[in-house]
Amino acid sequence: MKSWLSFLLPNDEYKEKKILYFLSEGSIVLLIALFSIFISSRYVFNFQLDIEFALFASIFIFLGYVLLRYIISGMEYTDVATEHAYKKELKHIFSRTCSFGIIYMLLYFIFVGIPSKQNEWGELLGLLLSICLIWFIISFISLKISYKKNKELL
Amino acid sequence: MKNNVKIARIKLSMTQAQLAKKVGVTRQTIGLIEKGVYNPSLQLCIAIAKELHKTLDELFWEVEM
Repeated sequence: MKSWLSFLLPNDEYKEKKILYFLSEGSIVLLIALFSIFISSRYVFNFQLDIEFALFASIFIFLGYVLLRYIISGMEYTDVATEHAYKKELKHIFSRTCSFGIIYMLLYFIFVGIPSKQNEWGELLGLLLSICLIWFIISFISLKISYKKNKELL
Repeated sequence: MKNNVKIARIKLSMTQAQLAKKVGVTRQTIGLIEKGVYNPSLQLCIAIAKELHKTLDELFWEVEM
């Protein structure tokens, strides 16, 4: 089936079908959330959400739902079924996260400049470490679930 | 859906990864089909049958081989 969405979908038909399900579920969850916000802000006294917050929350709900479903589905690392492959992929995730951190820092130094104050360093390192940690944890959970699922399918 | 894909694959001494590569899906998808967890499209059924030198009946019909 041809759709403008096709370029976003993987070639594997199982993955494609599951991702389409996640996107559809995410859309329904988003619709319910938006409807709830609309009803609450219109009819519930003292419930006035800031427009920016409401928009950010809507994006977060949709992306968060789809990402969560994708992670716990265990279909990101489809070929990791042995202990050796698992350890190799874990090392790859670690090096990828470190590379991201280093590249981000270099780009920050080039485009924004080297921080001069201690609190600026704190802000930069705090933000960077948080992003890297969250990314690593998400990838680790996804890998762990994928490995468990793949082992059962051998 | 119960099927005979795993038996036919093992008879040809083929791994899940090899079959997956030949039919253009992931190894996980082949595993899910063999376990009967995922029902493949007709197009994929035909591709698998061709690679395993079997008919669709032999692989996917509900009668034991």
